[in-house]
Amino acid sequence: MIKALFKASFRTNRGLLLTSFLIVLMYQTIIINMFDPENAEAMTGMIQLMPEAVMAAFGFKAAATDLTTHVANFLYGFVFLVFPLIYVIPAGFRMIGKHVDCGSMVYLLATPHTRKRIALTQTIFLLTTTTILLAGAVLMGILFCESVFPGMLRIGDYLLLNLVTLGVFYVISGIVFFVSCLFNDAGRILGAAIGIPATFFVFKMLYSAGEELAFFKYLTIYSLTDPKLVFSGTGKALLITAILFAATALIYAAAIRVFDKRSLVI
Amino acid sequence: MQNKLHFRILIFITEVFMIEVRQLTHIYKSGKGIFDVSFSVKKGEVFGFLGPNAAGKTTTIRNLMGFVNPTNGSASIKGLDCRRHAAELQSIIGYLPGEMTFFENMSGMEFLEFLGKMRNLKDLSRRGALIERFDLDPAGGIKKMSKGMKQKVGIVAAFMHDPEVYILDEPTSGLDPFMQNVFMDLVREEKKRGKTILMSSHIFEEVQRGCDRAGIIREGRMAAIEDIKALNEMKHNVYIVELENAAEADKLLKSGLDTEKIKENLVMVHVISDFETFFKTLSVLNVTGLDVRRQSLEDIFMNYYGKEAKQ
Repeated sequence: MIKALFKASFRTNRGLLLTSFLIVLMYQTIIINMFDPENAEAMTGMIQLMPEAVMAAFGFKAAATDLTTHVANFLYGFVFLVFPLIYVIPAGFRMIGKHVDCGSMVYLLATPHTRKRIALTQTIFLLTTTTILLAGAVLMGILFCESVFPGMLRIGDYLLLNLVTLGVFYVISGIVFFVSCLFNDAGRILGAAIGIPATFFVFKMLYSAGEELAFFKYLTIYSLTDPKLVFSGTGKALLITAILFAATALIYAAAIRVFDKRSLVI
Repeated sequence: MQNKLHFRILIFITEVFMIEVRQLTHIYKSGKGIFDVSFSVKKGEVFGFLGPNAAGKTTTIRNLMGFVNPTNGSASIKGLDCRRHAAELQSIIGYLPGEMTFFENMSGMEFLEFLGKMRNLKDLSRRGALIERFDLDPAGGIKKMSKGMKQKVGIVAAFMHDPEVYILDEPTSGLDPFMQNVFMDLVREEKKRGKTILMSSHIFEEVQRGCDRAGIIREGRMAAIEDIKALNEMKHNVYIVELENAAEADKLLKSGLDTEKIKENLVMVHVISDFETFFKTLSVLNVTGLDVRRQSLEDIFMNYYGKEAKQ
């Protein structure tokens, strides 16, 4: 790892990281605050006023009577799947692709470091900051739940759900990093970096909306964060996480190799 | 024994030729690029790489820096392949890119500090001396710097780690004439210190003034590699002589000098070294005007190679 580059990357991305963190935090706080065990039925009634498929698509199925299910349904249906992308997509683009697109990569390559080392440093940076973003949100979530609804959150389940979510974001960051290493121009990189997660999300909405579209769940990585699946067994959830981590390692390794071998017209 | 000899020859070659480009071909998707480019630069030599825009100068430099995979042929520095040993070679290369794009959110000084750390540079005295020499104010944000100021930041970045080999892509672009002189002085000093320098340029005078040899590239192909000294010797002195009337002009045309009629009473005379005959001839004629036509190396080049290229 190259310390100076890690620091420079942090400098470039710290504002974005903080902004994304605050946005996630804000929505998280609102949603946790919406939890009302006494009026769960009234809440369900309210949701039922909306077109059922639309609410289902966003993961809002029924008001839950326990906090963990409430958080899982409302937060991991939309907010936690989309908002961290505000950080992951632009940051992933900036890691390699931005330097190639605008030409500042020449200065990185004019220093005595191999391309592999440069790309590996950026990999470590992107994974570390993604972890900080999600871990920070989870920590704040637990603290907030404990202070407003003490003892009601099943912390073990909550952490398990977040572990799977972290794995999903690792993989998505890997995809963004891969296209960042593969293409020369900003348009293509951002097109793919936004397009792929957006497609995943559309597929998730489709399979959540109705039984007849269920097969879409095999086409989207977001189906792995389905609370029903995660809570169905700790072993299964851990296995999913392990697979996601392994996929992450493979994608990043492929990205670094692509960057190392290709011609850079800079 | 024979192995030892081979080894010695190898050392000899790598010591003499610092930069070696052999039959380098790099073709872009558009079909443009460089074709079969070969040249070498000796240790302690300043090599000018001349050519119009889009002739292939930057493409050659991209190969020397190991940014791209050549289609064919190879480029090496100190005997090491530029693509395979790119990272290793960077510790002895000082590189000035043709376009100045830095890290936008940094000031000039922060950028230089960043590069210093990337290079693990401990001795910062040279950086300070260069900043002073080029009268650079590095405190401002790079985004708001003028082209000349950015160029100065790039120059300091390329020279501050005291490398052995310089690869400079249009180094004087954006600099005012005074700063161009400061820069060329620096290049001469580095040459005296035994450094090898390859600089590209589309300005002939610059190469004429500062380089030992020049390679001309045109449409991706090396058109010529010449000694600057030899080129200077090829230089003609051209005079435009104005005479009183056509009859006088006729006399001059028949005098045996290398002449060319321009107008009725205007004659162009090429003089290589025999000034005595030239002036003696003029002294018996009614000369009403004399003009010197400056002939730059560019004209010489165009004379020698321009015709060839047109054919």
